[in-house]
Amino acid sequence: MSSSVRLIIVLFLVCGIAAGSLAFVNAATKDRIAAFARTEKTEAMKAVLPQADDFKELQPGKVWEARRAGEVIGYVLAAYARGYSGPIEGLLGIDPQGALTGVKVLVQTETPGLGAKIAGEKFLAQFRGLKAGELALKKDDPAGRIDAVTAATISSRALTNALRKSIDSFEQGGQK
Amino acid sequence: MSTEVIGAPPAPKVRLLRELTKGFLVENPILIIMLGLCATLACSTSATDALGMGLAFSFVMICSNVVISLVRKITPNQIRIPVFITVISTFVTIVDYAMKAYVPLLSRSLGVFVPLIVVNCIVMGRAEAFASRNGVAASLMDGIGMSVGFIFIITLIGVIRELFGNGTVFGVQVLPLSYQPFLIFVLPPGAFLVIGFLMAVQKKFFQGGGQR
Repeated sequence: MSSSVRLIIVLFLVCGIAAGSLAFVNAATKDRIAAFARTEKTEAMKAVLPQADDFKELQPGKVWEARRAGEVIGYVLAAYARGYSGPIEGLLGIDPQGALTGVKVLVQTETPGLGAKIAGEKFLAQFRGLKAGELALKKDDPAGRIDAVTAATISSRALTNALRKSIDSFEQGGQK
Repeated sequence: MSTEVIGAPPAPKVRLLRELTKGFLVENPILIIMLGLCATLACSTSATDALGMGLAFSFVMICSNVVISLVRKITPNQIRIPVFITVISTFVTIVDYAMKAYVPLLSRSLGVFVPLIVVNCIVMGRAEAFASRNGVAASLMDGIGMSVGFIFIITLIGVIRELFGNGTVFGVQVLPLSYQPFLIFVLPPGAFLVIGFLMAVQKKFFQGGGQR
């Protein structure tokens, strides 16, 4: 009896101390973690549409209106794709004429050294200035203007197609 | 006492020094004890990731060894495993939050493997085999030694894999750009290859030619 009481007390104390210290750590880091998530989103939007200084959310998590000195200079759209080894999430910016101003990959779990290169500047620079119709891999579509990352066709295709779909659905939504 | 000490126990100071240095090569956690391979294989695709993983691991390893050694006398034998797990997971959560707050990019690239330090067998193994049977000083030395051995090997693997698989080391281009990377090195099989070669080298040169 007394030995089992001792077990309970010791484990209770250990867990209590652990919980207390975790509460302290959580309180100490919570704000920084949340602040980082916020600034990261704004930074990412600035990266795809550098001229803008303010972003207004039109559709939660999907479309943002980019302004510069109060004037609409483009839109930021979210794109989601199923990559080779997991979801890919990205942001893209388009100007009012529908040409891409920039692309940024936010989340990807593609193969390091292969598919992960879709998040690199070398691949993403190709997209700048293109319109939705040109967004396809050269090997998939004669109108396509995108070279896939070597040995990472699936990742490249997933991202490229997701960007095109994202612009298409945004433009169709705008016409309605 | 400990299963670690072979032969007659040496003088305390010598013994502490040995606890500190044994983790480096003689009892290297990865190459000899061969524990914690999951994190080692998964987080050594680049030197930076490997070093980050090594440092996160070291914090958990050293802190939990010390705390477990401190509480070893008041912990009843029946509940030692739950107590160890609680202690280890507390430190893992601390390091996870700290990394998310202060080195968010590294934290993201290590992903789930930071929380998974909880089930890293090196930490658990040293807690059970060493810290729960030895004093605080010896456990601290053991933790530092194991950590240094772990950091050394995982970073070495990371450097080798990044060099051959990507032509860079710590993100700096080392090999000429014309170098065609052996992509297998940054893929999972590359981790096994590199670790196998390192074990062979270790056996050949530091362990008297593969005595076991």
